[in-house]
Amino acid sequence: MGFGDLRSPAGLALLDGFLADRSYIESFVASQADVAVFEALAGPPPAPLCHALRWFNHIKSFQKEKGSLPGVKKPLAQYGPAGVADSTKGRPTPPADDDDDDDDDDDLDLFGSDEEESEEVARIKAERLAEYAARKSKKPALIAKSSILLDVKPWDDETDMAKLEECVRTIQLDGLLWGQSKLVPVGYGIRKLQIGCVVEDDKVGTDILEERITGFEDYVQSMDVAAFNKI
Amino acid sequence: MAKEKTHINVVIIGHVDSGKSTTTGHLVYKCGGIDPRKIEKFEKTAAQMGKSSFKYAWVLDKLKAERERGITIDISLLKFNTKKYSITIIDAPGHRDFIKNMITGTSQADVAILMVSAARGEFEAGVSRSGQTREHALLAYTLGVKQMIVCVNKMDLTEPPYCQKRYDEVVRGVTTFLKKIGYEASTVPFVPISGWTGENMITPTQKMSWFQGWKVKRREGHSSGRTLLEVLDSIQPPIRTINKPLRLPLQDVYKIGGVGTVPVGKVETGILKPGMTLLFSPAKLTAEVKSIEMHHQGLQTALPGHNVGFNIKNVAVKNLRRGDVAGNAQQDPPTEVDSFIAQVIVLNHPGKIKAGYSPVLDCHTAHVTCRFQELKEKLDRRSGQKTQDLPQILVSGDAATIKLVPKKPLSVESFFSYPSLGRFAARDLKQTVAVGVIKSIEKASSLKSTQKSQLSK
Repeated sequence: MGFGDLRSPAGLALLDGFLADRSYIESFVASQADVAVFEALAGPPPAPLCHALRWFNHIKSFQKEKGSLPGVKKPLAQYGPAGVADSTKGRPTPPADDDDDDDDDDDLDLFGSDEEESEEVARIKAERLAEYAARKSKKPALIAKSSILLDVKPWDDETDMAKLEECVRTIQLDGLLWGQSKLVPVGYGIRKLQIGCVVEDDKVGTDILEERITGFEDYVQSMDVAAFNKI
Repeated sequence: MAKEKTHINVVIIGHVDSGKSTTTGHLVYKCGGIDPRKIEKFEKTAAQMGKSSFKYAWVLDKLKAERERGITIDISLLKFNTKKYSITIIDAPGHRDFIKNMITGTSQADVAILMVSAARGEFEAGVSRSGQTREHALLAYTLGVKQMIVCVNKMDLTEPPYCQKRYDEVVRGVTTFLKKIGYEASTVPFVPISGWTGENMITPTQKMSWFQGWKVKRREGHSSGRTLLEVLDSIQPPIRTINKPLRLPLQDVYKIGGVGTVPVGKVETGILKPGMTLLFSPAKLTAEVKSIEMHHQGLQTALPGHNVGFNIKNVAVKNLRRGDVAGNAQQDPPTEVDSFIAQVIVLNHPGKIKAGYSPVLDCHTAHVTCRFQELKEKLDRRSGQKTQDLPQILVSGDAATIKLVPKKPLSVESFFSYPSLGRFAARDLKQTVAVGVIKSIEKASSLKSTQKSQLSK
């Protein structure tokens, strides 16, 4: 089963034909089957394909509650008319069959395709992944955070460390929280400021921290990351 | 004393749902890495709230909340002791900048633990293409972390619980995965655990009587056992690199009244002693070491891993800077390089990389723009075998042998001779676009370039 390549005119024509006498991809209510096919499309089908377009606009109206639609997403190849294989490229949904290199998100396929997988194994895997995705979608998304410990080094033993710390703490960024700090002896009277911070992974990077901290040129010689952990 | 134990850095990699943090927390908790007074306080509160049965989970939650607020520094350093080692755990975040830190950071991993969840669907998601597990595992391998441990976690959540069939299935999957990266399966111990309930973490469990124990075959000898803690004790300690020539990349240079010039950095290989004549490269300066200090205390010998400051004669502060490398002038001193050949893996480049591309390289403490002079060969990432000569372009995921030319004076080494001076992260657009290890260097022509490979082990 499948619609051929859903990003090609031929695939869309197939979908249009399929939907000529159906309201939904499966059964009589909107389900994850509709979501899966919907997400595989590049955009609205052209106007002449009125059945596909009607279905597209209808499913689009579910956009907000698409996670709560019934059913479990399956690979595209399990929908549509029998006797047509699925060859849609570059679709964004993860529970796809794993036999082609079709990732289009920013994750890397560093390992080439899993060519040795049999269809059966791939099917079981896809099922479990779908289940996992369904469960996962119910959980509130956690914001990924890291705890970073920074070493901030002064110019000499006479640098005013209290002032240095004050400067560092004036740095305010969305997703950045300064934590505790201490002065660590280095040698010859030099002390470095060791300061912890919690950052939201998607918002704050070490580059911006380094740029801002070393921006206090009168006090700071350099900055190093002493520890970097997931929270 | 705990301080006498060999120090080992362990990086834990795995999918977000693999239970990394819970397991890490459990280990640190049980092995004395958390201030006992703090635990006592939390446990007391837990009892008062009637949560004694979930005491452990509750305490971990509290500690996590505390970490999130950044209150204590000590918790951001996850440390604990085994019988043989003092271990620091790095719980690998998904943060984009972590990769750079893994390469140039101060605490480089000696061992990697790959955490996978045996719970239904979670294992499949964990090793699927999405997620950083593959990227981290590949990086660990590329960067020379040859010791890998696999924890098959959440055995309490298999169907039925503690299911041997599921364990075997996961082991098969992970073995394939690790082989693809390059790891030799027989050297990798697998342990079924539950980081939540603690099965097989510290003490062997009765719930998985089918588990025959883990085994490792290594050149240095075989070992076996039943628990994760035993695996950690079977780690091969990092090879002491005292016998190599000195390499000390400078982090900072201070001018101290009444003392003079004080460079600070970490001894990567060899030893540093007062009286030694140092050569700084690429600064092309020599100076004698007058004294050494660590944590404000005088030191007669600085060993690999020591972060030290040292006082030198007759060199002005302005002539030295971060990124210079100090070595013993009499024993294979560091030199400036004209060019170097590196094996590079492109990670996050949005477009195509061609000859002439010039990102900033972070290598040890140096930060220098380098030009991709010549794309020599495209490689198979796993085997390192050549797949194409002189490729025109490289994209994300490609591996290649490349000749690089620094745009400013730079001193680096081959990864084989001095690992920490021979690996780098290439940064562009605020991202790590590529990582690499240096295969060979072309020393600057002004200096003798014949003794390239004259190194003791």
